[in-house]
Amino acid sequence: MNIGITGIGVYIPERMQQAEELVNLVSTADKKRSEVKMLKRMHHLHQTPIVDEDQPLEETIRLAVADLKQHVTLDQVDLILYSHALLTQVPYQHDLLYKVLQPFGLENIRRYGVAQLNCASPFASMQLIQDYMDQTEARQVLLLCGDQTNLYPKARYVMRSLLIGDAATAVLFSKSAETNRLLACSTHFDDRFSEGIYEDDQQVRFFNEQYQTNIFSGIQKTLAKANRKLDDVDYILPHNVNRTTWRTFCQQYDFPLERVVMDLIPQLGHTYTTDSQLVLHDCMEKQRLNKGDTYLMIAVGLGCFVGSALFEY
Amino acid sequence: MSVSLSILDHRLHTYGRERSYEHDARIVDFHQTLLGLYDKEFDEQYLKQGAQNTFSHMGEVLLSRLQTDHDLQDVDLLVLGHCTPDINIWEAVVNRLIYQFDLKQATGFAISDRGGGTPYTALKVIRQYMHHHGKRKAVLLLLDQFTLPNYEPVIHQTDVQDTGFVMLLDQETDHKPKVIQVDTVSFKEYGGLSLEDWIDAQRKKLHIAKQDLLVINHSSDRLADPQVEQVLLPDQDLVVPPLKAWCDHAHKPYTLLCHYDQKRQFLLGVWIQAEEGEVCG
Repeated sequence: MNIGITGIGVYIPERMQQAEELVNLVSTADKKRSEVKMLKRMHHLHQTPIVDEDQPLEETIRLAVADLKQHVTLDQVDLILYSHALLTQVPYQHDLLYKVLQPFGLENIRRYGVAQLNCASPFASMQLIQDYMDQTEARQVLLLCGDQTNLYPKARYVMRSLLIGDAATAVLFSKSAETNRLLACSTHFDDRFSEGIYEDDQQVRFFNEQYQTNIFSGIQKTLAKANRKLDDVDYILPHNVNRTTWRTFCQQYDFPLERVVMDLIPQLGHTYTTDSQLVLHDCMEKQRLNKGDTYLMIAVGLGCFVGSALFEY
Repeated sequence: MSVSLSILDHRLHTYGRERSYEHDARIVDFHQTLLGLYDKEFDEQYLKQGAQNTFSHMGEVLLSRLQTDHDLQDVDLLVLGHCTPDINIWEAVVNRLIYQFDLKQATGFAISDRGGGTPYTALKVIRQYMHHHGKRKAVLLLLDQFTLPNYEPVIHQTDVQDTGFVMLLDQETDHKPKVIQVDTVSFKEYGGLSLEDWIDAQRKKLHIAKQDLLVINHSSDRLADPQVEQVLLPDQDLVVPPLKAWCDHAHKPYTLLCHYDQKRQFLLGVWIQAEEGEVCG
């Protein structure tokens, strides 16, 4: 059995919000111009996608499914998981997934949401997908990811660190995948930071100090499952928080910077649960991966969670 | 897969109003904007009226009670199931509880976006996870809270109270009660059988006599067969009521918690075997 990714649909809104606009809306710093300069020069963060004000979340996710449907058939999908970072996204009883799936005739497929690991939630889903496919006859499972904060500027900018935008992905996992074979995946928890955005300055400093260690621990957990070492990884497909994070990681753990695919950071910034899937989609479009390459998808969620998955192209 | 999950213990709790409402402009702004996008009207009165129980508080109460009789340090998995939203809109509750109760080896996540089918899906997922990863103990936490930012007829026209349920599950012991089967079957898969026929077929497969079975399901799905004893729940999309009914009413050797989901065209069922000769709950 080769569980792997056989299709990715993406939706990236055309409209972009510039770093200047977000900093002006949210930042309380006196020197906003220097803050923008730092975001651009140091972190390589320029802009982030934003959906139109009247676009509901179901439409955002639907557009990713529609993109996927242009390339693959979904008639063998047996389970649909929806991973999200935000915990309150739609009103009570909105039945988001019904609204997403009904236009595609997928509304009567088994489905549920997986959350609470913030931006690392898709990796908990990948574990559940692996469990499900190993234990059932299911041939295809669809993983949907997508969040939007177009209406809340405060949720779109973390001072001097990252820009956060809107996007959605629809990833099709199949049991008989010839490419993008899932070798292992895991989630790593550091429960000392469970306060998330409510942490005080001291805790935030401590979180930042432990950030690289946590990323490495998360990666090690997945690599150990696959019996691989960091050297065996051809590419890291990262969460697009900023370039500085990955430059530091590469220095600290002696990993070549050019093997961390950061092409999308200047264009998109961080888009909650969808970063590494968008990077994979981009790599595939540009035919950057060669048969047999191993790549590691990774995301860090506030809380603190590190999700990662090792694939072979 | 024939893995059964022993229910080592369970607790049910109904929460009163334990703190007063505090106006937070950021939260109000968040709800106002969110509801506006979906053509719903924000009304702070409903936020004020609510009992103000956060998921982390609700979880803390239940896990504290469970902890009085059990060492939770060997719990491998903590799953939160809910369909009403937390009033604390940003908090990663699962990790907070893992930290607070020192569940050192536990991983966790929440099951959402499944409406009243959440407990059934959560139990199915727990069984698969425990089996696949060779894990032993899991905690399922189910929470319903009703401090909402807008009028919801199904909530505000009824007398509902914030309620939580926790279950400590073990896949390696032969302790009873135990979850012996979890079904999530699409209408298509069971080939147009009526609910009654489906229950009958499953009951026979599990060698359960009709008189030994209690069925807990929704009022709109009342079974016609007078020989099957039933407890009927109001037609609400909530996660705790089926388990509360099991605690309050289970007195037969077997109980089927049943959720017949017309809209999503699914039939969900949890079969629980009671401790012989004893009333559970």
